[in-house]
Amino acid sequence: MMSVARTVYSLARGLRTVPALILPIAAGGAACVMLAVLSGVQPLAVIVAIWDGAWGSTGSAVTTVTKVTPLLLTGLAVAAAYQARLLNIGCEGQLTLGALSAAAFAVTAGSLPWPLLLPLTLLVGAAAGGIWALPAIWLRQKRGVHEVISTLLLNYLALYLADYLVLGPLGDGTVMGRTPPISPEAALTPLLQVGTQRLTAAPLIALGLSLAFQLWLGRTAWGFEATAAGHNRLGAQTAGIAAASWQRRIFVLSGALAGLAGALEVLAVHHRFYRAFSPGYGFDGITAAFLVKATPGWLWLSSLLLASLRAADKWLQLMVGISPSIILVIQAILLLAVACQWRLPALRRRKEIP
Amino acid sequence: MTGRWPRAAGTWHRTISLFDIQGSSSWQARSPMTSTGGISTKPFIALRTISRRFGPVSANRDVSLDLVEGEIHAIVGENGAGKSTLMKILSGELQPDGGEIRLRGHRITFRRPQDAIAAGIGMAHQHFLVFPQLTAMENIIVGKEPGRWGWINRRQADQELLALCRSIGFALPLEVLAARLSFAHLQQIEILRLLYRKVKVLIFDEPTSLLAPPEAERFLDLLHTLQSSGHTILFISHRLREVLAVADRVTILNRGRALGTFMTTEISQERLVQLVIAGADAGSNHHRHTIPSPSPPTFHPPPFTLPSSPTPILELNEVTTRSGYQEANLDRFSLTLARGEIVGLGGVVGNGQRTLALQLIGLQPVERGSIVFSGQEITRLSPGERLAMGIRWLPANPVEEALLPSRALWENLLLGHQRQPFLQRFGWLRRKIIKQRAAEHLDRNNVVHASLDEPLSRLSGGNMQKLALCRVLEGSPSLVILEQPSRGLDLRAQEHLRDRIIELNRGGVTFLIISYDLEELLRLSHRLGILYRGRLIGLTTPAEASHEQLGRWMLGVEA
Repeated sequence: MMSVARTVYSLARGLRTVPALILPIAAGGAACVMLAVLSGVQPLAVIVAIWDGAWGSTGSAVTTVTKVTPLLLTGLAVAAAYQARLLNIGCEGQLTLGALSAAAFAVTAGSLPWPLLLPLTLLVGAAAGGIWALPAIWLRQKRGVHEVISTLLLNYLALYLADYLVLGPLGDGTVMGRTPPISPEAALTPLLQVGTQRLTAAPLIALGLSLAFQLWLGRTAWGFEATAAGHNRLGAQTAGIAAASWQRRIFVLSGALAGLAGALEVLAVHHRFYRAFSPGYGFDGITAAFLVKATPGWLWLSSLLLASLRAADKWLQLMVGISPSIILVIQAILLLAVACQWRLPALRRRKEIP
Repeated sequence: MTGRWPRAAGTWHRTISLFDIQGSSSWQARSPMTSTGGISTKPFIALRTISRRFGPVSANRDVSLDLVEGEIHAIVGENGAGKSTLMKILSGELQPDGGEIRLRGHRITFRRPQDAIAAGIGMAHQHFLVFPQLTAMENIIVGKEPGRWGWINRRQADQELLALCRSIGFALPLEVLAARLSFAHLQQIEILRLLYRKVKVLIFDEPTSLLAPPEAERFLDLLHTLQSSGHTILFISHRLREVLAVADRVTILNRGRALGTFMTTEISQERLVQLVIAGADAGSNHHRHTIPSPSPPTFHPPPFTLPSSPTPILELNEVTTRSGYQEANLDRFSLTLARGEIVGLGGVVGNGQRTLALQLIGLQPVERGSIVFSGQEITRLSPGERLAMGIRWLPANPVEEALLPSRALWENLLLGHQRQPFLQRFGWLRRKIIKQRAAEHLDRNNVVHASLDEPLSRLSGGNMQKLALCRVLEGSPSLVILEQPSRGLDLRAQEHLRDRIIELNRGGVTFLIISYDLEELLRLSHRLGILYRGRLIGLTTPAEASHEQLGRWMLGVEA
């Protein structure tokens, strides 16, 4: 009985993160209304269209939930790095290389039975993402290069490297910029199929990982050490924690999560790697993470919100005749509002402490 | 005229700024103080019933204080008596909750330090805010650079500052980067910043506490020089001897209240000590306060005699470092600590004390030499491995260097113990036990707190220090390195700390105490040494030590 009460209490405490979403969403809504008015469209029609586009039918709901996977995992990647107070802006590149290596592996090792092939493919994707994060953290720790710069630049390297590989050695011989289709053994089996839309276990995997990571952070000695190293590096070192090593581990984990996002995208949705298959999931992950103050346990909420917006953009054009770019504007406003909100306590805290 | 600053700045400034009304020359030098009648004539600055609270704590309660132009006025009192708060209110850093400040009879309000400086009142800080990459000159003029259109007129700045330095006898190398300057020079920068801004009332917060005795002497001479050039000086000090030597008048604060102001010629040191510590009856012509007086501290030396054949617990053999930052490197530093000994290390700030602590805990690499602990070489071991062997360190700034300000109190007490077998099971933290242990430790060390879940940053400075000390002293350490352990602690907490150290020491714990307060070292240590430029220039026992000897060592004079 006590433990139930305690669980409810701790959940309620965790809810403190949610009000953080209210201001950004209100700001995003206001921007949406304003843009609609400026474009001569009924504001309500826009909001209804977004809702219908994302959740109006089973098919659209499946599309929306499918889009949650990469957003949740890249969001988790950013949030994980942020626990060690590092910013991983390189999720896009890590995700691309993760997807490409997973696809290439699933093509070449396609003869393996699925219980072996599937986890191995995911592992290869994660490894590729993790490896792509290594130079950034190495430069940060040995040369003092800020990881925002290095990961940002590594994105371009990754995208061009993927282009080269997919148009050359790993491609299917066409000029389409794609790999051959992966072995059906490797693909995730759809739990639900609506038209061409397939719902797989991928969103559940992502959700499970985010919740597990939250537990790991808050409840284990390792999670405690990792966050301590992030909150006060010198203090953690003084307490005997290998802070630098924790930062390395966390950052590589962050890259691996982004790589995993790419691998799952290949196995669950595309079944092959396409050039530029990601509409910027890596960057959306930053928004997803900071909308919930980089709290892994609440990422499902923010990624669901972003996925809904993403899924609705075509519908918006069809039904209201407004450019789908409005979604990007809303997203940008969301992020700006989050950034402003983070500054608010700092302004309030101006009063001196004795 | 009650125009609030700075809205009425223009008119206010024109009517009663110090720069426009020339102080009458009769106030200069020590002349006003030669007769008691001088005080009553006209208060120059008057603080009236100033009150200030920090949460539940009253730092100042109805404090009134008059300043006479051209005097040197000392403020004395225990830790936490409200001295610094009062000075911060006068210098515009804090705003009072009640009461008023009058300047030549006109009420003034300072919203920020710049307002006070514009009115001619400025405070020299104990923690210098210097830009290490700028020169001394740049550090002084920053914020008020001469020149126009964004160009700095360096020649003008140089000339002005040179004249200023000459007038008060400073030999400050203006073109040298601040990073290379000594502590005393940095203090000169801090003072020149105020004089350059034409400040007439200078406030100092424990200006001599980090200086070597001869430098402190020089500083007191400087106060006289400043006085004779028409400045008014207000300074906080714990050193009653120097207060009586240099100040014209002294005000005693006790638990946020002013106990009274005395001519230094009319009060004996014994009486002053009595008033500061006990807060007793403050004399017939002042208000009486009935305050329960705490028992006066007992300065007993630690009851310990070194065994005839001591076993060494820590040996430093010719340790040399190279990567010290803003701090002297160790130069063939050798020292052996016997098990169960308390060794104190002093010296002027920046002579390698901190480098030594970083070496011992393993945060800075040793260039040459070796460190042996309990017979095992630890020169290359990581901080974690050394902690596991029972070495603990309290850094000088524990909040930045040993604690997690944004995390809960229980997490701060867990830090460093998270792998202990009784606090976790297969990596999963056992929160119930962890919190129980945290609560016990906080209670035992009198850390005033609202809840275990509140973030550390909500605690007051003294309580943070108590928590940091508790982290270091709990859990059976074998060697404890304390850097400025009583920083921020009030008298009672200092007593408690001393008792704890002695108690642990009786149980066999070895202490290395690094402090800039010679009195503290003399009270606590079995042996004490002085560091000079990264070397141990002298080592003695409190019984044999003389202030003169220690002072010479602090300045690098051997023998």
